[in-house]
Amino acid sequence: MFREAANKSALLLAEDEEQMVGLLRFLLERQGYKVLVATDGRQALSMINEMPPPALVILDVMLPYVRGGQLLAQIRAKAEWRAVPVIMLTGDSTEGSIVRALDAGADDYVIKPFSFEELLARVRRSLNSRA
Amino acid sequence: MSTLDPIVKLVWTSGVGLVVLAFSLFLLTLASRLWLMGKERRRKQFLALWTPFLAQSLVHAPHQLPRISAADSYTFLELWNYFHASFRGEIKERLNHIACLSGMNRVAMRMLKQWSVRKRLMAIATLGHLRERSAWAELTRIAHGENPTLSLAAAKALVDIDARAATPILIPLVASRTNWSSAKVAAVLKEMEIDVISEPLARAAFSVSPDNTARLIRYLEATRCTSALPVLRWYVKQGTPEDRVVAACLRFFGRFGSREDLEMVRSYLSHPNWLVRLEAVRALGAIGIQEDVESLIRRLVDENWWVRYRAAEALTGLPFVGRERVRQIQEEQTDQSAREILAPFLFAA
Repeated sequence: MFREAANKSALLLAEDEEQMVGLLRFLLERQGYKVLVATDGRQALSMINEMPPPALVILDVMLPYVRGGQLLAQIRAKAEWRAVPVIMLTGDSTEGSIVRALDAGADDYVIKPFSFEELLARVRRSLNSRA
Repeated sequence: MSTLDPIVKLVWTSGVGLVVLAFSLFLLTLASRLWLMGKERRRKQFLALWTPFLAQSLVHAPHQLPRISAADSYTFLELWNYFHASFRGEIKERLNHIACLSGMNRVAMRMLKQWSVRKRLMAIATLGHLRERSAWAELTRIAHGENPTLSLAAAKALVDIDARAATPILIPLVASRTNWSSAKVAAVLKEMEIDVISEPLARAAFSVSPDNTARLIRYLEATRCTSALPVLRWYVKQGTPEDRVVAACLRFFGRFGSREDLEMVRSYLSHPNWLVRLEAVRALGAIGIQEDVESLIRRLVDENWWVRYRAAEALTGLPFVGRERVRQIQEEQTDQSAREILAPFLFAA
C-alpha cells in the first residue's frame, strides 16, 4: 500500500491540521523533499507498519487516535525504522514535555509557533547527522 | 351535534394549525441545514483554492491577488490568522504583505464594528497581527469594555501592535479584571519582553487587594520575572501579609529562590494554614539542603493529606536523597499514613 517511501529524500509528515499540512507540504516539496502525509495517528501507525522507512519523520505530538509519543515508541521498536531521525512538533513548550520527547527517542523538537527556516535547518541537520 | 360544532371546529383548526406549524418548522430546519451545508462547501472550496495559493504567495511575493468576495473574507482571515499563529519569523511579514495587498486590513477595520462577537474577535486578532496602529484607539476602547473575551483579545492585539506602549493600559486591566482567563493572561504576558513588564507588574501586585496580589504574583511566576524576588522577600519580611499572598510568595521562592530564602521558607512549615504549609514544603523540595530532610519527614504526619503528599514528593525529589534513604525513612515511620504516603514515590523512584 505504501511502497513509495524508500527514497532518500522522502519525509513522513504526521500532522492532523489540514492547513498546516498544506503549507508544510508545499514548502518542503519546494526544497526537493518528497512528502508523505499521515493526518492521524492510526494512519501514521499503519504507514510505520507497512512502509519502508523514510529519510526522516516529522511527528506532531498531539495526533488523533494514537499520540505522537506512542508512534515514536513504535518507530524506535521497529528494527527497520529505528535509525530514522524523528523531529517532534509540539505546542507545549514546558521543560517536561521537551524532556519526555527527547527521552522517548526524538532526535529533535520544534515548538509551535515555529519558524519554517528553523524547521528546515533542523531537517537538514538531522538528515546529515544520519547520512 | 350543533352544540359540539364550535369545539370540533376549534380542535380541527388547532390540528391544522399544528400541522402547518410543524411543516413550517420542518421547512425552516431543512432550509437552514441546506444553507449551512452550502456555506461549509463554499468554505472548503475556498480553503482548497487558497491554502496552496497562500503558501505559494509566501515564497514569491505576488504583485496582485485574486479578489476575495465579502462572503469569503471571514474564511480568508481564519486561514491567514491560523498561519500567523502557527509560524514565527519572516513568514509573518510576508503574510502581512499579502493581507494589505488583498485589502484585508480595511476589511478587518470594518469587521471590528460589526455586531457578531465571532467576527469582531477575528478582526481584533487580524489587526493585532498586522500591527495596525490606526486601530489603537478602537482596540483600547474594546479592551476596557465589559465582554471579557473581547476585552482580553483587544488587550493582546494592543500588545502585538506595540508592547511597550500597551503596558500602561494592560497592567491596570490585568490587576482589576478578575473575569479574564488566567491562562490566557499569562500567555499574553509571556509574549512580552520581561524588562517591559516586570517592574510595572511587581508594582501593581502590591497596590491591589490581597486576593489580586496573590493572582499577580502568580503572573510574575508565570512570566519568570525573577527581578521581583527582592520585592517579594521584602514584602514577606514586613510580616503578617494575607495567607494567600504568603502562599503565592513561597511558590515563587520555590521556583526562583535560593539558599537566601531557606530561613524564611522554613519558618512557614508549621503555619496554621495548610495551603501555606503546602507551599513551604514544595519550596523546600526545590531549594532545600541536607538539614531540611528532618523538617520534611516531620511533615509526613501533617494533619492535611495534601501537605503529607507534597512532603513525600519533596523528600523523594531531593537530589541527595536516594531510593535507599527513602526506603529507610519509610521503615522508620511509626505512623501508618506516613508510610503509605511514601509508598507510591518509592515505587516510582
